[in-house]
Amino acid sequence: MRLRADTAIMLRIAVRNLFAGRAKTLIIGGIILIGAALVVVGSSLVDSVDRGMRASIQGSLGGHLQVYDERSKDPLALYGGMMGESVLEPIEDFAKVKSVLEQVPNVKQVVPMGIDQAMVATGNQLDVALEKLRQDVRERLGGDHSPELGRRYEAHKAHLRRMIGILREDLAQARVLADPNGPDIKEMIRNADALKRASEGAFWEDFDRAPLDGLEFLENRVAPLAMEAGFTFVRYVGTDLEAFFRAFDRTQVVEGERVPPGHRGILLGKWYAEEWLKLKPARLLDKIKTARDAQGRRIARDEELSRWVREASGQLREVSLQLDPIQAEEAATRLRRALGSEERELPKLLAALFQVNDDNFDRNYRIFYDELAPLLRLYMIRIGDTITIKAPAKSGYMNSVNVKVYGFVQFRGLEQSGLAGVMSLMDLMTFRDLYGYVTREKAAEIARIQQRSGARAVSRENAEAELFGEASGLVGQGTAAAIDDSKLLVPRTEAELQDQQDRSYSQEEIDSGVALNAALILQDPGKLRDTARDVEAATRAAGLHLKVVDWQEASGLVGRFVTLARLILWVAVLIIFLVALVIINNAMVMATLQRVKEIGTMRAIGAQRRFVLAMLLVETVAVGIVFGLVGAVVGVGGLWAIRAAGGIPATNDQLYFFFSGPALLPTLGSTSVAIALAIVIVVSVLSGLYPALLAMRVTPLEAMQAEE
Amino acid sequence: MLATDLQIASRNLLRHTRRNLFLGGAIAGVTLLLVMLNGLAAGMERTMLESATTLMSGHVNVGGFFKITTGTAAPLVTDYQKVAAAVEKAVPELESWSVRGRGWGKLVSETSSMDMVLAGVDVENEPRIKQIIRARDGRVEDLARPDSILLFEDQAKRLDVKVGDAITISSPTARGVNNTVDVRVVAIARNMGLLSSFNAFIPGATLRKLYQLSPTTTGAIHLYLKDPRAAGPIAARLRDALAAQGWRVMDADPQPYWQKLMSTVPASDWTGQKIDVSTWRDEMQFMSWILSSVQGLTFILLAVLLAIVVIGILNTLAIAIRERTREIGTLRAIGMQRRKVLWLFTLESLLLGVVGAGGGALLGMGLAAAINAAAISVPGEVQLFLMQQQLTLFVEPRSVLLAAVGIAAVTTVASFFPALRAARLKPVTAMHHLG
Repeated sequence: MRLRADTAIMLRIAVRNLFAGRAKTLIIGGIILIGAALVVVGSSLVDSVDRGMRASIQGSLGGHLQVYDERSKDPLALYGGMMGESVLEPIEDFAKVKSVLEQVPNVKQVVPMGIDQAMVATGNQLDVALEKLRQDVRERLGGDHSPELGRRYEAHKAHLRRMIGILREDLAQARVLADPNGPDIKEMIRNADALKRASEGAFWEDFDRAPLDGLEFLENRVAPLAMEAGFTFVRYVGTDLEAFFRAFDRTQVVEGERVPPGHRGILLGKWYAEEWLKLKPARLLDKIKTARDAQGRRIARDEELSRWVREASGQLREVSLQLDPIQAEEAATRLRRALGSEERELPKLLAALFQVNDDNFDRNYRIFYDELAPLLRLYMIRIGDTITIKAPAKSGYMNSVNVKVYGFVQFRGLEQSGLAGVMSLMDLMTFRDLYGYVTREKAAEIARIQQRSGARAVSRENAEAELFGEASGLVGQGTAAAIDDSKLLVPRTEAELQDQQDRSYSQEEIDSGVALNAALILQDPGKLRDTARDVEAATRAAGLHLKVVDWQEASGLVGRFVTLARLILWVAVLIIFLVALVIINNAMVMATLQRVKEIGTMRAIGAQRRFVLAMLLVETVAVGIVFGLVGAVVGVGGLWAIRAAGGIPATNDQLYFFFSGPALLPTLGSTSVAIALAIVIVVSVLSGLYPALLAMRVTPLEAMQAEE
Repeated sequence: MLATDLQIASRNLLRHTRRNLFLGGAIAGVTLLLVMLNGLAAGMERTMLESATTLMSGHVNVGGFFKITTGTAAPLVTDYQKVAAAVEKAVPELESWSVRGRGWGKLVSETSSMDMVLAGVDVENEPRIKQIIRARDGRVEDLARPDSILLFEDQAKRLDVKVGDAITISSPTARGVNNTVDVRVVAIARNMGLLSSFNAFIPGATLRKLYQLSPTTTGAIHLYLKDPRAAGPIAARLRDALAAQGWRVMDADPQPYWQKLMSTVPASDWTGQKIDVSTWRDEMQFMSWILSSVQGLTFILLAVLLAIVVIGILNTLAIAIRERTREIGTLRAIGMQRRKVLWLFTLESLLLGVVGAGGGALLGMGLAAAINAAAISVPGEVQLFLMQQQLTLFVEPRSVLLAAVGIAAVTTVASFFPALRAARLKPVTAMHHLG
């Protein structure tokens, strides 16, 4: 009863004091308000980024948990690290890992993976032109002598000849680079001779007489030169494609189709295809369109956009090179009509089309896609093509495989993100070939060959003595011979390769073999920690050397970003509240000292020290709570304003991934307000404590004596 | 006169030791923070300059690309002697220059392999490199031997090699074929920040052998200037000078050469040789966002903190003026001018600001020196963001002074308005004021 009366009096005094010292209350309150609002906004933003990344990583590659060989030199980095791809010890028998892990409760699915980079040959324009000519020749030999075919045949011939001419000029200038004493120079001269022959009139006159011989020459001697002339890199994950699509339901095939179950094949990342494989001027037009439509930028005012316009209009050779004379004429007619131009020549029409400004951009963009694009090969690689992929195997030497492109693939919500969109999906069998890991069968085969040939291991140090020393003896007389690389690299016949493309692999074949890591999808992601422990125990019991990491750790550098952002936020909050503490404390001390007389009087009429202490603390804490709440509301209002304004836009690739979409729509973290209030209360108690202690020590006597 | 004013101001400050100590402490704390954060940013920038200009760039670079076909590109300068001669004539500020081959390949040891940026150096004609790279094992000079390689500690550890061991370099050439060359480790150098984790040095001749290049080619000519800060304007001038002499020169584009090599250059449709002049800042552009974010965060944090401190000062002065209203009235009554009252209060705040900020600055410098002396090694992941392997703060006297003066100025300006209120008091009302 006493207590309640005391409390009531205390509260009344506190409230009265707060209103009496309005300036002080406002100052302390203001600081607390700023602090609380910052905590609410800051921690909600970081939480939202955290959620976005969780969605991005779990939905695109990470799953909930990842396992990989614990003897690996590098940690797993799903999105690549600073030093390129991480080097992992392979999991030799994935089937065993799968059977062990699938027994662990809460594990829904185990998806094998192998992530790496490889080179893709892209210089196949000449092949395309050659294929057209081959078709014409076939029809002519089949007895078709229509004038229309004749015209097509001549046009295709002229087109091919022009391409060969350009290739010849290009390769001729490469000679300045080459070491005049190196082995390359001889091959260069041989190639130059072949190109010279293919671009001369005599060759084409012979071609009409014996087209099959001519075609053979072009295919075997000229086309490979063009093929070598360009390559780009592809980052892929080799996986059990069926399992992958089941596990990561954000995966969508946007063009083409899925690889048929059990078949070999690759699905190229849509973003990768746009960025790396698309015809450059077209890509630049797309980028300008996005910048204008989505970001409201204008060519006239924007340095970057006007550079893109310059770049696009400077790269039209590629466009006109793709068109054979018939197509070129068609293109010119269409452009004349669409642009309303009198111009006869295609290059000038193209220049007019690509010389875009803010007024004609939308029209020209439409013209390009409606009129010109249907005549062009927009992507260097088309769906249905079989592409050659090369990668250095672990030994440093190249492995190469042919694989069919079934379609383009993207992750829903991450369409614009380079980190996710660069990934292509490849079947596991092709990955194993490319990775060049020596499987047990292969090892056995090599051992057999070694036995038969009598080879033995020779270490690097004593190689010279072993091979050329006294004991080695003459094995055989060597004669110089031209080595045909292509025969060495592709030991299989066409038929065998075709068989590989067509055959379907059973689940058992897919599972039993090498993988580099595996993603685990859980039934209940909430029990991630427990399941990680269970998985670890299960792998240990089964004698597998596996390391279990969660999605965040598996993502490598990317995952550290949120941790770092959170760290920076809390360090900043700590510093801000530390300074706030000092300032609030100061204000409170001054306010208290002004009230020495009043406090002395209260003490004189019977207030206990404890009452004084409590009264002053209640004052500060009340200010803290009230303004803390207002601050939190302001923070929530700030978040609402950000959402209302359409969120924080993801202005680059990385942000797109972190936000898991085109903009970060921050949501109020449930804990944010609680944390903010807790901090505010702690800070106000701490800052009120010292002045309250000062006040407590005031004796009635000194208060009465205090100077006016 | 000023001495008297100072005396009065300091007396007033000292009369309220406690509150002014707190306030001064807060000002000192904020200054300390600013000094440290500036030191961190400057330290990062210096490590960046140092390691960048040793490992992958000069102050200004004259590099270039050679495109055999439109779709390919190689980072090459053909006939570099002629280019170098022209550069020497165009840049009188030049201190020295050296040539660097630019390459990229997979290093394969007996047990491991890793991808690496390869720098082809001519160690005999590049004294600078011997001064900056410190060998832990072996000798940097031995890079003069044919088919040798210098690795940094981390790389050697990862490849599991020692001095004298052999490594195979395998590298894709512009023709899509992989060439290989065997080299011997002649030196293992101490790490030099983040960049040293993916840069290795081999003789220029070995790099040419790897790519089977003519001896008249190189990757880039690195120019070292007497004053690195002049790099920007000199690069611009050089670009014009080379273009005027008939070289095809690329437009300025603030990107490192390997980014150009990967995307913009293969995407444009010229063939043959083009020269590209860049500064070390361009080459480090991919890292500069980290620096700007540190600076941005410093700014935001400081703005919030200063706002809080200013509120504190306003409060303290408001109370001080109320306490001393009668005193002010008396002073005014005996003939003190309004301006003088304003001056006295501002001076008080100025004094507090100077002492606080000065103390904070000194403390910050001391702390920074202590951190540098303690040689705290930065954990692996943070290295990426700080670009340092050991936490090094670089505290420039000039920036410290600027920080201290800036903060003292803010506190003084903040005091101006309450001081103005004090000055406006009428002597009569002020003297009648109670406590």
